[in-house]
Amino acid sequence: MNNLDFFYQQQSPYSLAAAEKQLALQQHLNALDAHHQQHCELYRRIASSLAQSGWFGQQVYLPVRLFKQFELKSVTQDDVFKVLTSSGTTSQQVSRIVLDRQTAAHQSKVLVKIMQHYLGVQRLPMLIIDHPSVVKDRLSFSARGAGILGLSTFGRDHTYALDDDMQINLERVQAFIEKHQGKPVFIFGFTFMVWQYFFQVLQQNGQRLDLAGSVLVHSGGWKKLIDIAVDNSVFKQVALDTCGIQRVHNFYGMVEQVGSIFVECPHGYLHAPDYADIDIVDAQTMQKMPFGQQGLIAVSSVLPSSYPGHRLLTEDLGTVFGEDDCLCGLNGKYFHVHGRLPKAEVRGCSDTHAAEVKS
Amino acid sequence: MTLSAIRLLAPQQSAQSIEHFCQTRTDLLTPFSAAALEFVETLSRQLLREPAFKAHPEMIALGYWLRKANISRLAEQAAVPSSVISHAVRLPRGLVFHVAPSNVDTIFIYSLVISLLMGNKNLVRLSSKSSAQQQLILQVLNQALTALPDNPISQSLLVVTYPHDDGISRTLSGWCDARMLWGGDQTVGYFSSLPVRPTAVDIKFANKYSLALLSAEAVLAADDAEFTKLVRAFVSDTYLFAQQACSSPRSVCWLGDDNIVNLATAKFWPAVNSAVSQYPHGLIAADFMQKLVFVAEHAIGYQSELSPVDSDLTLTVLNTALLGLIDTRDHCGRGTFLQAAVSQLSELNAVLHRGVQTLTYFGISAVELQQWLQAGVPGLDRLVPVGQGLDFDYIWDGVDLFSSLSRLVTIR
Repeated sequence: MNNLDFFYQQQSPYSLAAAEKQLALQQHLNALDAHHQQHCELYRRIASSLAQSGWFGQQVYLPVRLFKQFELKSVTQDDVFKVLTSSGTTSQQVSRIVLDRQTAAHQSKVLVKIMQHYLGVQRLPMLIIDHPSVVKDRLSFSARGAGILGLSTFGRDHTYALDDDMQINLERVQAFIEKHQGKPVFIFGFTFMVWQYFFQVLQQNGQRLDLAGSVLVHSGGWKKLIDIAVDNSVFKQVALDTCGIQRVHNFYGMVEQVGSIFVECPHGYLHAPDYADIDIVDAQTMQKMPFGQQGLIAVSSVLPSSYPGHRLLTEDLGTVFGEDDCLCGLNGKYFHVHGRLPKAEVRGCSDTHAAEVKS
Repeated sequence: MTLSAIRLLAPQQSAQSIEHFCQTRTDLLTPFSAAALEFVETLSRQLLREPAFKAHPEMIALGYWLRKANISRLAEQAAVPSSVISHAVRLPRGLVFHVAPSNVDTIFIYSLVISLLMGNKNLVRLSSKSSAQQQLILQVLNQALTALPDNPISQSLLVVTYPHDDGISRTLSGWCDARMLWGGDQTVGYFSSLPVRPTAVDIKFANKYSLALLSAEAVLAADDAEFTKLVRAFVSDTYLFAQQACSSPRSVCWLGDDNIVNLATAKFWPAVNSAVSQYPHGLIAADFMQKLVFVAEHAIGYQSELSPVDSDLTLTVLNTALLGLIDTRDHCGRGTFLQAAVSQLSELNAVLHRGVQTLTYFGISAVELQQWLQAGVPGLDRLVPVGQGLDFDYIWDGVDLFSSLSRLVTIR
């Protein structure tokens, strides 16, 4: 089940043009629809309920929130290889994503294909904009720790830029820079951490680091930065001003679809790789919207066969601008993420107290 | 103990401290005092006159409920029965501590007014989350108080807010003679854990669930005018507070045989759908997401199936077996209806429980309903015609508020 050779055989993860991609992708996703209907009773019930809805052009997209409430899996307990968990921002509940060996292997392989497109096949010296304890306790690590570990396979000589008190350890960072002078370096961190504890501190102290020629990859959402009026262009400008970093790649991904991530191109757009697709959906009608309009982000991926996460409706807002015609030259749909869906007002006989107790 | 975190919202100024207000009982009024009646009448006039309330049908409804004619009618209903009047006198309980819900914007005013009419002193705690609706309510209360500078009612009412604080809630609870707990199960449970005086009473309004009962035959038989009226009434019961008021029906139980029910639903839902598209429901993207999640949850739990009324999520109907008809745990409101059918009323007993409050009905006679109730029904607090789901009644959740907020002193 789930042979992805056709996709792996492509020259790059951004090879397929629209017509060919949609054909291959839809065929594959349709096969996954049938597979999950057969192997996941809960998914079958949902699909059966929505059979006549006409939503999403007759396809079933699961709201990502369901992975927090239910263990949705299409493998027997014996075949469970590992369970990914993530903390959500909206509740204490965590998503539980059940992987078998095959899905886990596809995830790693696709992530490698995509990252190598930006980093090359050689492992680069890696500067991590975080503190080392974030990955120390392997029993209870956070989504942040898991992300860092996942990306660490693409680097060597892993060096943490921050100390446990979130202060920059300039001595360590300078030593790292001197050691790898003149060679490309891979920098990774979570968007907010990179901004708050690295760029902003350097900027405030008037310090400059020489990281020219390096590649910065970051992820994790813009919400906190939008609140303080920092957008992608400000972020990139400060990366250049403080560290001389010219290549900055944000990426959009989620624990529910690990591997087939959406990486930002030099023109500032996130791109769907061959393995994945993105659509924008109008929440009121659950119909796909044309390019250029803002709505809910729906993501598809050919990777998940151990859990029914191949077509998901996220709670993020975005706009797709086009397909195959981005100025960067890569194929695939290209888009922006605008942030989380604004919360609904709670009305009715609900709790005065609940919200206050939590805080 | 520090009460300094308490903020006074109405009256705008008070000469006495909160402690003094709460401890003094010498200034209690008597039931249906002229002072209280004048205040209620003024409140009604403000609500019906003020253009700001025109856009809030629930405020207008409150204004009508408070009118002199309705209050006189209530006074008659609340009167001590003639068989008792020769040896009993009704008096207020004393201080009533009202914990208002954060969201249903007007319902606590009804119980507050009943309490004022009974002559009690009232301390009202509003949520610390301010809302536009809350501001409107305070505005109208303060306007009425200001318009009646000499009315002693201003000594009987204190509306406050404070951030969540165990110490304050405990102190205020310890001072009152009756505590009126609105809100969800969590609020009710929390306050219940704070003791009141041994002589005090708690009146609790926890989470409740409501449904509509429609006779399939009657829906089919209804002429155009009657049918249009039914649809409009159904929509206003359910879409006014985005179907999140306790008494908004969340389920529809059809009465009739399968064939007739199928015909009736095919007539009913498209009409509701077009009425809803004209209705200012205020649902936004996050609401629709919530509905999609519920459709999936209910399918998982009960194998229900989405009925293809329209692809627009403003109206969502789920066909379910009777067992899935009442989902008190996950139901998201926002124009979502669980639908099942029974061929006789007693079949519904299987899914009713004490958490089920209102049943709105259409096409079923009062006699039939009476007979059904008298045979014993394991739930339900009120049965009203479709369209009156959100109306307030002085008997709420099975509690007669006039008698609960007063006491009878007997003389033999």
